[in-house]
Amino acid sequence: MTDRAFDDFLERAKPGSSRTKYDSHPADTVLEAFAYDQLDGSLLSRVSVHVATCRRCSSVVANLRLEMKRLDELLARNIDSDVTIKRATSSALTAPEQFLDGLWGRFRRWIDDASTPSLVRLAATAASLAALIVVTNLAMDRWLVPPVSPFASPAPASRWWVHLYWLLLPPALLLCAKGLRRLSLWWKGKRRD
Amino acid sequence: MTTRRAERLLQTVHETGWSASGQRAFVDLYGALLRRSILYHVRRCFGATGLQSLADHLAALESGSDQPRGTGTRGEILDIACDTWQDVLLRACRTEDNLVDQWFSYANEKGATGATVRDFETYLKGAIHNAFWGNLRRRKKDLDSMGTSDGLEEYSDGLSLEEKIPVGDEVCVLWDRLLRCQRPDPEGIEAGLVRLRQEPETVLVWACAALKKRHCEAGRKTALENLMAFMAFFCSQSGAKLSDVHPSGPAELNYEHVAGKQYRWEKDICGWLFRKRIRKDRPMAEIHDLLASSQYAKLIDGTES
Repeated sequence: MTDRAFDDFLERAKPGSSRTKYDSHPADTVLEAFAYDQLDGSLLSRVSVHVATCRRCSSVVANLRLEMKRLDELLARNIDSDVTIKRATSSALTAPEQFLDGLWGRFRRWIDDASTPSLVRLAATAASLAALIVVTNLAMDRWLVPPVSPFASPAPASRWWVHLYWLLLPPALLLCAKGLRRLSLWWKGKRRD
Repeated sequence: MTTRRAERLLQTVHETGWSASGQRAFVDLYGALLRRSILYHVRRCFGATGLQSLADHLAALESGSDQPRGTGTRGEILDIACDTWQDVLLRACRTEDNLVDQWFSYANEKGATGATVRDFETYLKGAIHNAFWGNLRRRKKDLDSMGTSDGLEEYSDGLSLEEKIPVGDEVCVLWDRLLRCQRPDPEGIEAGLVRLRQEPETVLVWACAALKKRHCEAGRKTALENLMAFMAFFCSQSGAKLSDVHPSGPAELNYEHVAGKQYRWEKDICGWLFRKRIRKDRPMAEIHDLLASSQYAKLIDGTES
């Protein structure tokens, strides 16, 4: 068996669904349920394949999805999830805790957002870590140097917190590696085009 | 479809309870499904005009030029939608006996009897359905004048038509199930499809189902991801491109989203869909080896088709 033979096999294995002409179609209720993500299991797969190969049903579903997307955006702007969540939890947060929690929540949402590129997410995480370390070093320098006790040794104070900067090395290396990989993918794609 | 992030969240909530960040993550993960399901039930109950009324009311509320919320029929539709949203989130995020715990109990119960366990999304859809119709029935007296029905009968009729939904090729249904993180039974495919049609089309889908099952059971996530990437690429090379929707990640893969899109391996599959470098020859070699060691080896030679 050669690679060529296997490539031919894969070519022959492609499903020929594009040639399908349908005499009957799923009920409108089923197409509605499909467009609004309400179907599951084998019914979902059957409807999905029918829609993928039927021009009429594909057009119906596209219109339903367009309508749903517009309404979903409207509803999302008008339904306050925070109020509901607070009702569900018994613990009350103080104002500073709420502020920090909100800030952290927004950051986490942005980081977790699938549309944010992974390179940007990594860069943002590394930048946050760098900022945290710089602030920590500034604060430690201000509070602990010179030594707080007059009985301390006259030898230069060991500023152990400076070594926190080593923590930046792994994310920096990862960032470089990701950048190089992205560059390589882009270059290969360009060369192929 | 339950993603790895969702799996982690559900497991953490079940083991350690809710945290503020966990609740926000839940809304991020399932908020869109919750809204879509509410809109679906509004459509089923009030029709396209009811949905349009809701849209108009929401738009008017945003611009601050409409009557206060809760007045008139339009306000009632919005009330039902908001109450359903609150009821489901309250049930999901409460500290004790919440929806996540209930789902784990259900999954354990069903798993012990060997029955099919529905995933959390399906369970959540059921909870949304119950909450919506519960809120609707509470206001039923006022809504009777609109001549609405709950629409369930019609939907059930649609579901019973499953076998009658025509598809061009049964193989595509199996490809869709494979792409959707479902695991069609390879033995069933072999007995029900390959024995009847011993062709490259059916044999390849059987091989992919067998490999997927093997990787899932062995917990080989990277190999599974490579196989998914190959299947997405392969399915994108056939069929007609009827849909403009592209999957935003591996969790959104299905036949409809990839058919006829003619994805390129490095730029599309590796570049933006899986966002990692994947070697195509590895899953291909696995499929080749599986087929070469099976009774269908002759199909690769092309000596019999």
